[in-house]
This record gives sequence, C-alpha cells and structure tokens, in this order.
Amino acid sequence: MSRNLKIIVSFIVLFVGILIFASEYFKSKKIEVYDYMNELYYNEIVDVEPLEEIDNGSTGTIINLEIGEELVEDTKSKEINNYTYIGYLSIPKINFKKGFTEKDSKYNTVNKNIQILSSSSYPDEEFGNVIIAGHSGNSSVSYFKDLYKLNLDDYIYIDYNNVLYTYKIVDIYTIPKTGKAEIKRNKNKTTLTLITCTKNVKTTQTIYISELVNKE
Amino acid sequence: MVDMTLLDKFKLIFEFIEKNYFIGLVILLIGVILFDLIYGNNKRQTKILYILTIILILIYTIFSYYKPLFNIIDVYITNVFKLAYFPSIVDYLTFIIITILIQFISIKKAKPIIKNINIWVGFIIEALFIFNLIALNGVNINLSNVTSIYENNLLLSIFQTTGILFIIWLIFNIIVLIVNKFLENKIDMPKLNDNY
Repeated sequence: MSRNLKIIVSFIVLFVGILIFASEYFKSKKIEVYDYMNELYYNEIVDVEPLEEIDNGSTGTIINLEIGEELVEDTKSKEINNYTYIGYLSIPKINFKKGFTEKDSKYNTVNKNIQILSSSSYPDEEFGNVIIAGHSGNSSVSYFKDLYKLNLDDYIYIDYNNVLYTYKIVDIYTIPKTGKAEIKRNKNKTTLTLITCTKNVKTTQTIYISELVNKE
Repeated sequence: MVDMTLLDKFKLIFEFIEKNYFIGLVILLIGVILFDLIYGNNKRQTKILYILTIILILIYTIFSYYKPLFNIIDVYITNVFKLAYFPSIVDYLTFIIITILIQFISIKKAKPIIKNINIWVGFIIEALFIFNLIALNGVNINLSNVTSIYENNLLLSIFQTTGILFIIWLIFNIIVLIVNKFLENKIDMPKLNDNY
C-alpha cells in the first residue's frame, strides 16, 4: 500500500469512527434543533390557529404499555412526519418543559420525545386521562430522568390549545414491567398520568397520577 | 444592550486583562515566541523548546477552561445542525454563493475526481435553488420568517435537502483540503531518452 493510500484510508477510518462514536450526540442535536423550531412555531401559532377536532378516545383501566429500552416504533406503516408540537408539558419543580405531538406523529415515540400513548385522551377531554410516557436513565432522550424527585401534591402543567391545565399529583406507585399497566384513577376526575422506568430498578415502572385542579 | 464606542470596548477589554494579568502575560509570552519563531534565526533545539512551551500552555488552557470550551463547541455544533436542517433565507443564499465559488475554484485547482464531485453536487444544489424559486412563485410566504418557510412541506424539503447536502459537501471539501496537505505531491518527470 502506498503512503498516500494509507493516509487516505486513515482519514476515512478516523472520520467514520468519529461519526459512529458521536452518533448519539448528533441524534440529540437533531432533536434539539427540531425542539427549537417547534417551540418557535408553537409560540407563533398558538394564539391564532385553532387546533383540529380530536376524536374522543376511551380511557381503559388497563393500557398497553410500549415503553422500555426495547421499544421499536413501526414507522414504516406511518408515513406522517409531523414534528409539530400541539402542547407542552411542564413541571417547574424539576425544571422540565417539553412539547408533545399528535399521537400519529413520527415524533410521538419515547425514542425521540415524550410520548402520548394511543389509549390516552387529550387534555381538553372532560374526565379523560392524558397518559404520557418517557424514558428515564442517562440517554439524550431520558426526558423523565428527574421524575423520581416528584412527591404527592406537586404540580404539573399542560399548555394545550392556548389553555393552561394545572394538575396536582395524588398518587405515585410502581408496577412490574410487563408491557401493560394498570391505571388506578378516579374516573370522575380529569387526570394526567405520567409513566417512566423506576430509577435504578430495571424491572419496574413508576406511575404518577395527577388530577386537574385548574384550567385557565 | 449598551451601544458602546470602540474606545469603551477597548477600555473594558484592557481592564479585564489587568484583572487577569497572569493570563495576559502568558498570551504575551506566546506572542513573543511566535514572533521569534517566524522572524528570528533560531537553532533547531530552540524551535523545539518554543513549540513544546506553546503546546504545554495550550494543554493547560484546555484543562483549565474545558467547560466554556466544550460549551462553545456544543453551541457551534447545534448551530451547524440548525443551519443544515432549518437554514434561513440568508443562510440559503450564502449556500448558493459558496457553491458557485467552490465550483469555480474546483474547475481550476482540484484533482479530476474531486472536480467532478464538486461540479455535480454543486449542480444539484443549484437545481434545487431553481426548484425553490418555482415553489416560491405563487405562494404567499414571509421569507424573513423562518417558521413561515417551514410550514410549507415542499419548501421544507427543498431547504433541508439543500442545507444537509451543502454541509456534508463542505465537510467533505474541508477533509479533502486537510488530506491534501498530508499527501506527497509527486511531479511526473518526462522519461528521458537514453541518447540524452
């Protein structure tokens, strides 16, 4: 092998190595950029454009839970590539704010963002249950990594359709990680359920049930 | 934000250097070393000593100020991604101008393979620019507003494809430039006839 060829091959190997090594970082940068643009877009449209009507979804007691490290979203069957946020979830206590998309968006997956589960209601449904899941841990998409710091009576907010929904945590419990979760909630109240893996425990998930206390 | 005069800006910078006089002295030392390296007539050992001193100072600086340094690199990469995925109209036009410039330079100076790649990638970016003009013709979009551009899926596709292609192409050209510095530049000599 000539010296020149060796140099070229070395550079290619170095470049590919950097790409592989930093691939997670680059993915997180892409998400960050989309977040930034979505936030700009959301702030512009929220005052002028009414959101589309949403079908009333049923809120079952047992829901199919598709979160976990092994989750693979079947994006091939969904051609929708809508990265636009329709609302924001914020928890001031842990300095958390993140947008969420429509259920059928390609971005509505815990591998990219926080995810509204398919059996979830939207915040404007009376006596509905908004169910949002997210990863905990240390990855770039571990948006719910600080959820363990929450206690009963802490407040969670959802900004949706230009209305601010205030929820108060009423119950926190863990369940085994089986792919299904039992949601114990008062069906006469409008609720918000957050689901994530239990901190430092691989076999369980923690569920945070909160009830609507105010909307303005 | 305060609109300061040039004198006020210099004054503030000198005040800052006064407060951090040690760093100021180190930078002055590097300046003196560089001056002596470039214009002085030094022995080989002195040059090695100078270069080692500069490297040591640089390593010390990186270790001492790695947090703001990493922060700057992180912000830089975020902005490169922003440029690739959501270029503004100014960024987009700058892409086109740089594309034309790279093509012109490549025609004269680049090696055949690189020249071909640059001409054809440049052609794709320019073709996308024409498609962009066609797409923009007839739609009511505020071009100064980035979100207004990206509301339109066709424009989003054109802008993003151009942005990503341009950034990858630019990185490719930078790597080619660096690699060229390391390659041996052999000049083909004409074969001499035995009679000469």
